[in-house]
Amino acid sequence: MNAREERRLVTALFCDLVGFTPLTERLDAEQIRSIQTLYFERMSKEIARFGGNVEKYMGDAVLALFGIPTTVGNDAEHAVLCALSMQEAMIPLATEVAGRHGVQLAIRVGVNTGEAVSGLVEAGGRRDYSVTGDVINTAARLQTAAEPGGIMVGAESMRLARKSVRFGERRDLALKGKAHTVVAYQVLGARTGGADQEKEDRNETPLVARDYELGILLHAWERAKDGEGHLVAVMGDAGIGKSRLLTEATERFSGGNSGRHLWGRCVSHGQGISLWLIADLIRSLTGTLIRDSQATAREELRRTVHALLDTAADDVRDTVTDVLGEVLGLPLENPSSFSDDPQVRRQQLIRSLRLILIGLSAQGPAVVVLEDLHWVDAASSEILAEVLADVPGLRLLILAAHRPGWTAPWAEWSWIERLSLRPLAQSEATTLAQTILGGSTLSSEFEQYVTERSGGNPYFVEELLHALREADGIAIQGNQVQLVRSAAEALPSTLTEILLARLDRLEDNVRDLVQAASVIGRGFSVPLLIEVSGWDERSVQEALAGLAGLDIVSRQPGSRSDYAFKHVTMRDVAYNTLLQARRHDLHARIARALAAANSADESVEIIAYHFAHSGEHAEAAIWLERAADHSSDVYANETAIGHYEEARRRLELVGEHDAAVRIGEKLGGIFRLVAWYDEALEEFETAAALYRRNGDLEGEAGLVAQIGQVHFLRGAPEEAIDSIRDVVGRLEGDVDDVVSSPGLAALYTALVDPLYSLNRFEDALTAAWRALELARLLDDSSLLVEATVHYGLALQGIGRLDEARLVLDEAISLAEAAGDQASLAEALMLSGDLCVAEGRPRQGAERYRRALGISEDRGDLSGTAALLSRLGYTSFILGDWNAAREQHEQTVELVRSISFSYFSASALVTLGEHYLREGEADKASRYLEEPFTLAERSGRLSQIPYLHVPLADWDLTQDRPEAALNRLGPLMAKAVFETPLDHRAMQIAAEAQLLMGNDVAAAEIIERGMEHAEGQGNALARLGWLQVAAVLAAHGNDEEKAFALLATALDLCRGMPHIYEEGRILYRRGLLSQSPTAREDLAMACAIFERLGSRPHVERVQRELAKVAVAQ
Amino acid sequence: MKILLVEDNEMNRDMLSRRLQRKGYDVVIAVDGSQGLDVARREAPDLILMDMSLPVIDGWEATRQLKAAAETRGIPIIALTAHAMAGDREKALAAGCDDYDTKPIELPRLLGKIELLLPPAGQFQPADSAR
Repeated sequence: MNAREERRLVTALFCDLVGFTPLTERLDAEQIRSIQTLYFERMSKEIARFGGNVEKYMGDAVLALFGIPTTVGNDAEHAVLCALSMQEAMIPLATEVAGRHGVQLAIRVGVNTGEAVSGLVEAGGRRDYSVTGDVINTAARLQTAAEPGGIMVGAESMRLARKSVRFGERRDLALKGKAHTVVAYQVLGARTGGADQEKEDRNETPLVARDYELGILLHAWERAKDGEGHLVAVMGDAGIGKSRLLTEATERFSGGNSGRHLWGRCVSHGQGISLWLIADLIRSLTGTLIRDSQATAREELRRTVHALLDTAADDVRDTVTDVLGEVLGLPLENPSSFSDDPQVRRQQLIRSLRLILIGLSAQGPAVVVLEDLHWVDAASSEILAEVLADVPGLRLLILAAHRPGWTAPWAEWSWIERLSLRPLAQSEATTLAQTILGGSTLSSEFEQYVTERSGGNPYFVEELLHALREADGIAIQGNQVQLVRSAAEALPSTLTEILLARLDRLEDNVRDLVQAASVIGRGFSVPLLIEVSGWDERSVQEALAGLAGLDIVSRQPGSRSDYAFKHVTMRDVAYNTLLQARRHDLHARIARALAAANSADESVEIIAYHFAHSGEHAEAAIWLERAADHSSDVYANETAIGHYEEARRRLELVGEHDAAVRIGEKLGGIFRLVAWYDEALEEFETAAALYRRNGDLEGEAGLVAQIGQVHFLRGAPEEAIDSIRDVVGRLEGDVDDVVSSPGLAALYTALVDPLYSLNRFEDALTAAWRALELARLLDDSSLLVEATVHYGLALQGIGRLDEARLVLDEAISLAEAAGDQASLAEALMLSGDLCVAEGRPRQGAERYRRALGISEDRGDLSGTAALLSRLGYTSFILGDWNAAREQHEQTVELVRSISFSYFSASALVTLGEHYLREGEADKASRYLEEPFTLAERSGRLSQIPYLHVPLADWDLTQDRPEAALNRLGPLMAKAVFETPLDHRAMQIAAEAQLLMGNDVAAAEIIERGMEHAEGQGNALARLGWLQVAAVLAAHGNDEEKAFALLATALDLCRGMPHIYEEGRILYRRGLLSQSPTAREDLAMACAIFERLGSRPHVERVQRELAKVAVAQ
Repeated sequence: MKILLVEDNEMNRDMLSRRLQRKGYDVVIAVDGSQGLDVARREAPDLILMDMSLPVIDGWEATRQLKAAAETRGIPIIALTAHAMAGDREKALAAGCDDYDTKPIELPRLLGKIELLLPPAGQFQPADSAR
């Protein structure tokens, strides 16, 4: 047994007889049997006529399927029309039964479209289709909801058939056996107007970018009007706009009036009906409909023939009427003039049609439109070939539209013209979508969605928009149309039907190949397709050439893939037809082939993708993890997270729980980087617990070090220290001076930052040193780099800047050598801090900038924020306050996006201080209060005294020394002179004491401060102390000394340069009453503050300038 | 052999005491200058490691007092400081310290200094075993 199974769009029609049961009680078996047979015959005939297949008879019910085994592209429409036809066909039967047995017989029909699995089963020499899917059950249930004599259809069927069928209001049916309500529509009837009606419908779609084609048609029309008849063949895929173009053209020909034109339209179910097209043309000629009565049809035909053949003899007119009438199935009026010989009758028909065309042309130029000729019946095609040969001598324009792949009988004629409709260009498709949506501009995402999915097919554009609208996939923001991603995933079934029909025209084995290619992707290489399909190269190449000819795929010269699906939607449809199991199998084969053929680095993500879509979880996990590692290496953090999570899910599925936890560890690392601290902690803690359970103390230590880092980053240094110390205690017992432990080294390194942030500088130094000792013993380069960086930090904290500089320089070269970007950025940042403290802000900024580049590349948010803040500080020092403001604003924006950063509070204060200096008090206040609540809420109380420093500074410049001293109380009690911020706090305190007259207290602070600043080589601190010392000297009326100190300070800060301090020093010197340069100093200070944009300072200086002027 | 470690920094105190104990020393601890004086008088250690920046009474002052009192004058004191301020060493020696070392502690270097200041090992062997 051999089975070929597929998933595909199927329409099921379910029909059941009502009123039959009472009949069975009254009649004998034979009578019943004969009524049943008649019923089944009539129904089957209708089903066959519309291209359906009877799947099953069940009691009095019939199940028919449309779109199986192949689709013609509008099966749902056929099914609904078929249902209408079945109801009509029941009328005579019901009338007969009612008359004879007094019972009302009727049918109810349900039609439903959806995806089903269909299989061709070959067994015992028989081929059979089996179809499974909810679509059939639902059709049966819909049938029960229909009225006797009525038709109820599902939503998909309605969508696909609404062009030719009228439906009632939407109904939500609670059907038996269905958990949810089912959307259903009652069929009201077929749309009446045929081609004309359709013309109205289609006019709603704007015609875009067909000026060239229209020009050709108009030109042909002009020639036809002059008696030079013409045939233009318009070729293009379904939906490309053939009918729309022809409608537009005929309207232009007649200047908007209903001109003289005939429309003949072939239908797919008409292919088996002899002379369908000719009959349709005759109806168009006479203005009648299929459903008109024979009498009406006959009368109209006679009138038309007489009018057209006004100069012909009566018997000719009668014969023509009879010949054409026969095509319509009308009874003959003059049977005697009719031959029994089919050949003769064929000639009679050809002659009649010729006469009609001549008559038509004689009365004025006319257009004959022949639509969907690829579905033409053989007899019509032959007749047309004969009749249309006359056209060049007539005032006629024939417009013949068909899809590619159909060979016209006039293919060899030299006088005809061929137009091939191409897909719209991207911009044209966008214009079309815009026009349909009422002229709004489209977001680029929306534009891409529509152009890519439609492949430039106007009908697809329209249907996509329609489907989006129904799924609430269109949102208007401002004046722009935005795509709602969640609603945009499903493919409209209208598109599926059309594309599926193209696939169905392929040979089975070529179809298999297309499906295999669709699993590879939109683009695919020939060798891979050979490998996966198992075909030989020649067969594959031949098949691909054929597919290229059918416009299904196209060659991709110069790209990695040899071929690509022309249409991404075509690829999707082909892919969707595959059963889950076969998809899985193909993906696995592709993944293996790729893994065998390529260096894994290059294709790791593609291989992972294919394994991920196969059922092989273990392999999928391995490759997903590799892909994630790869993404993480290039800092594609989000992608990495996605891959790791999927890898973990697969490992859990195959019961590899420990391996899953190991992946969680990697995930945690990325979460930490992107500042998802809660998630990072969860991962690390789970992993640490696993190591603990396994008694792996080393492994646990490595994780606890990371947990500590996360606690620190989220602003909880005490928790960091507590969590680390416990494991340190357990590990230290196992370690002596010759046996080291990487875990312990990592733990000590992780202690440095939290200790430092709590101002426990000596402990930080101890921890960093211990980490360094252990790393050296281990000779582990990455541990060594990290330990060295942190040792540099600790030295800096303790104020040993010279040593710190050496250590950090070493850390930079170690990090560069080890390729450790994270440590490199950190070392550069700390080294930049040193430069700034040493009075080299430009070099500092340079290092910050280099580190910033690295942090941004890594997606390290907290690192990026820290560096932006520092760059803001150097911009401030160097006098570029616009840049400074911007950088501080960016920092604040960034720290607000991080769940909680260890320096959020200080970032806010810094921005607030900046606004203060610029005189933006209102803006400033917004940033100056929040940090305190932030610090309190996070329990970072040790940070609070430092948050007061900028505010105390401001109090001082506003002549509020008492307020400044209040703020600095806790820091003054500690009286340390280590970090730059310590110095600054003590300088403010000293100056405040001076202003309050406590010169002795101030002198003591100044002496110690100066001593430390000089001992540490902290030029920035020294700059501050020189100024406070000058104020002290001035207080003691030693203006000369004050002047000298300020001159030294001025030299120092000009060497940096530190523009703001320069202004402050000049201002201070300008205040010395004995100074010979007071006026110039104040003027220069004023100019500096003006240039910086510091309004409050400018005002202060101007006040002093005014005093000087008065004094003079 | 008993060493008194006067140190306010927790991490440093823990680590140094642990490592000295592993080397066979008996370690007693004080966390500020005033406690350091008490413990020195009570425990009569063989050597004192004195951090200089201590709370309550700082290391300089504690050293001065220990060197001034007859009962503690003979105990060798090694000053420890994290600040590498010029003149710290001289200042420590002037206060009466017998030696001086800078943090971070490099254990072999410190042990060398300790050995130099302690009496020959054998002399104290009985006391050690009595412990």
